[in-house]
Amino acid sequence: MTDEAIIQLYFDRDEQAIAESDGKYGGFCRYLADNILRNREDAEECVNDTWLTAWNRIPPTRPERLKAFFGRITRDLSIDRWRHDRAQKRYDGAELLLSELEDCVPSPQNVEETAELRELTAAIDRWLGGLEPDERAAFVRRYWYGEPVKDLAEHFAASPNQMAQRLRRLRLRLREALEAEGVAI
Amino acid sequence: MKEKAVTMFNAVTGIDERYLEEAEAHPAKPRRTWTRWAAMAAVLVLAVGLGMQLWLKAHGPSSTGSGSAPNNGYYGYYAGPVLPMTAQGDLEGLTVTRDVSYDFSGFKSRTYESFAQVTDRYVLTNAAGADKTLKLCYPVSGRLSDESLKSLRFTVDGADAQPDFHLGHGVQQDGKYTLSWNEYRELLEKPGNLASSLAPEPELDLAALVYTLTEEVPGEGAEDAVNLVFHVDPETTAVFASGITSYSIDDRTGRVRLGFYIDRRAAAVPEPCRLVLVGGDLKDSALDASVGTGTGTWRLDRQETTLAAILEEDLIWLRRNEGAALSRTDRAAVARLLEDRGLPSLRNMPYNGLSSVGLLSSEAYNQSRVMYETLELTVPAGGSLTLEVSQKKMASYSYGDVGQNGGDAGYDLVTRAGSELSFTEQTASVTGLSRVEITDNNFGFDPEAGITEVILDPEVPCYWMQLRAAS
Repeated sequence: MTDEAIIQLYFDRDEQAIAESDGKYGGFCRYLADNILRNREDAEECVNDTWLTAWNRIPPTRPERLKAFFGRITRDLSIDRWRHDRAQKRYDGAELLLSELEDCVPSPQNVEETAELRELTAAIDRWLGGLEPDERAAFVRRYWYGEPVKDLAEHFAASPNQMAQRLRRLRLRLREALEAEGVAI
Repeated sequence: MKEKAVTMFNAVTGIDERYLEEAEAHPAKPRRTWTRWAAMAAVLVLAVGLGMQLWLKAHGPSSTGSGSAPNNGYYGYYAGPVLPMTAQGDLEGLTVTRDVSYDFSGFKSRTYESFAQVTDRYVLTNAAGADKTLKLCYPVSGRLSDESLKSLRFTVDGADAQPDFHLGHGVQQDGKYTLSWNEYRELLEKPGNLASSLAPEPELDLAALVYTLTEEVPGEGAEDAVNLVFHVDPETTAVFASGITSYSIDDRTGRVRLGFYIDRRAAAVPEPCRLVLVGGDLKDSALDASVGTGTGTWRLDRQETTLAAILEEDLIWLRRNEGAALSRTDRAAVARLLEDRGLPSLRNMPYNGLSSVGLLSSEAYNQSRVMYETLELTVPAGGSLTLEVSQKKMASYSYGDVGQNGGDAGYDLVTRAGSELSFTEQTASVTGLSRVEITDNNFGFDPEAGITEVILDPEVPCYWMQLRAAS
């Protein structure tokens, strides 16, 4: 079923929308959630909650890119679930992802206000736009899709160590770019 | 700090959807094999005592300085110019003419897959009363990883010749994202560059400590992770690590965290999980298995060795993992890189990062450099000799909208820098123009007016042309 048809099911309040969403993008959303949570039960719950969240947002929202729309919801739910379960110190991909993303946090600036989330996203978008395609793909696959470093290494025909180094350099370049723009978190 | 990382995570969630699609569709890179050179002239000679030099940090784009080419630093990828041959020996009475031809018959597009068949032809004439035996040294700009190096062909008076290959030195990147012909000129004109380029690379016989992560009690699950936290002197200690998928460094305090990844399923020999220190030892170390399944127990095994031994082991693993055989160039390239830059300390590493043999090898192979091909030849008294060097020369190009020349490809030609030869004439020509449109140049080419052959002015240090695939 096309994305447009699935979206129309949501607008028609036809519960078949859930089944169609799960059938087409369930695997993708489970992949995202699993990369963050590393727990099958928790990931499944987040995916199920993704459809509920989508049901509540469509309408009025009419997503331009349905896959990305679902992916964002799943990411949001997964990181919230991670924060809730963090006290239990369960092994999960989010711990690694977040420890890596700490490198991107710009140093405290002498500003009174911190950036809105969308301003930060816009700054990241500008930085991504200036990257060479391979670099951009590596960053997005790691920090949006949560692709494990070893899988990334294989994709880019590098060793995991080399891939870790490349990602590290990208994270530091992002930090520099954010600092240059005066973005504070 | 974790909450700020969560904020970053949430910000990344909202990035442009086009980047998501692009990343998902990104094609996998084919595995490379490093079996390029069958006969190496490099011989490893013992040379101890590498001095500590500052590692160059690459931060931020910048233009590269003056020069006659307008594309200084403007290309996202700079392929390096065609460089003039030089020679060692008695050059008195020797005159040289040079002709460089660019054949664009094979030019496909303005991407990194475009190339010109470049022929650099020299006629050496000996007006002296005695034969002259010379070592002709042909500089080749580019990287060891360039596929175009395989296409280099040498002929002497029409017969194939087999030159000796020399790694040469890397050009100074010096904080720039992109290069221009100026960096190559600086290297060519650096005193002693030719002599040191033709000299053997050093052996890295430096004392090193290696700490290997060993699983005492096997844990559960096919994958696991272990953190190692320790401190070193950030000023004096070089840190190399392998088998990691994440790390963090504080170069003020010397605190290092390594995130080791363990794959218990690996059919092939996994990358060794270890830490190598040169110039110091670690202290206050702690292993944390709670970031993984927490079901195994671990220890660190300490061993004294040499950097050369570690280099050999890691390179063997690296090449075996790539399905390739270890070549002398592998060791020589890393040795030359460390000879040029010195050992890194935590404070002096580029990007404030860690190093590893894999990273050093990758850097060495992808570093822009001037390599040399040498031939011992005799020019008869009163006679001449013709040397032709041909190769598929990659164009310099930009990535998308990056660079002022966004979308154009380019070729540079250096007339005299680094050459001891006395050129009486240099000429250039272009053919295969049905495949390309020359958008600008300072050669004097004007295909529409029928001008495809020109005489070069030796006072012009660098000639350039910009072009794109014909529509």
